[in-house]
Amino acid sequence: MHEAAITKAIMDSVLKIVDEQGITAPIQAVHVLAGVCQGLIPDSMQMFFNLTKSETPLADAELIVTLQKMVAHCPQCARDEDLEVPVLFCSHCGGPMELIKGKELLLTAIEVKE
Amino acid sequence: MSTIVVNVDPRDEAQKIAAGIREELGRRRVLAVNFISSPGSGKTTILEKILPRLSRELRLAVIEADAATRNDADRLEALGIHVVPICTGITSCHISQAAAKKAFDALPLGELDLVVIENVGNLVCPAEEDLGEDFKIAVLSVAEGEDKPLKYPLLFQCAGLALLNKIDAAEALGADVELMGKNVRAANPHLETMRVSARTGQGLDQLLAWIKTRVREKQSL
Repeated sequence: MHEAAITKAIMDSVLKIVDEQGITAPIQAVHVLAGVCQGLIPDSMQMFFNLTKSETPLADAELIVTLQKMVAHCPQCARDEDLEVPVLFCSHCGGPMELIKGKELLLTAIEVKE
Repeated sequence: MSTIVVNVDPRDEAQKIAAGIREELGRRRVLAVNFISSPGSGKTTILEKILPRLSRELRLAVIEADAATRNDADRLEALGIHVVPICTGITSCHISQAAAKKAFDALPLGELDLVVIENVGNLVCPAEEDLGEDFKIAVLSVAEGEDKPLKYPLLFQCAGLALLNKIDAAEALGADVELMGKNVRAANPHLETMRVSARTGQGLDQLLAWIKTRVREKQSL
């Protein structure tokens, strides 16, 4: 359910850009960067994308989702740490860390045929 | 093939609506809190307990969302609470900004101190949806398992307060409340956590005090 709403917003954003920039060439790919904290399943997003793209300028396009892993910053140790699970306590000093990557959701690029 | 670099958040349009709601609430000095949890964690029961008490001191209304039925809205209306129901439909998993705007527009904001939003039961989707509220309140019942803050961290990272509900049932369920609290802090080291029981009333005084303090802070801005 979550994927449907987000993917719809992504498609609307692309169509708005296509309209604003007067792009007429066929769109081949839509690139999205999603932090793992967003809890999005790329397969589900692609399914929604492919089911709803016909009869739009995205009919021949592919949705490519890149997942961004979590990275936290420890201000005490001035270092970054890659995280598999969201435990925001520094593995060195035990102090609180700030999540600096892993929450993003960005439409990063649109590929069009020359 | 040519690549157009965009780097926009696809939710920008929705966030503009949320910013408009926030501005209006700020102008009228109305506090809005947004209760979020998985289904069955006890959001409505908590509200049934605290809203009649809060309404003795504050002018309040509730925006009540459910995917289907208006059972929760009925439960709160039965207590004399002013409720604006939103039925999101079962294909939608959270309150959209457009639906929130419509609900806020239906409220007499000039005559209110507090708007409580009860979101659709869902631990994932409503977490980062900004509805213009001042605070998100995450509710997690001890029956749900100690590791949920680690599996669904986004809500805890976005929340201003976390409630560990059904604390009276912890022993019977074999729930490790210490571990659950530790996992909430792991997901967000700065998040304030309260242990409550909507059934016995444990911890609700503290929750009421927290909300009243936030209302006063908003009014003195």
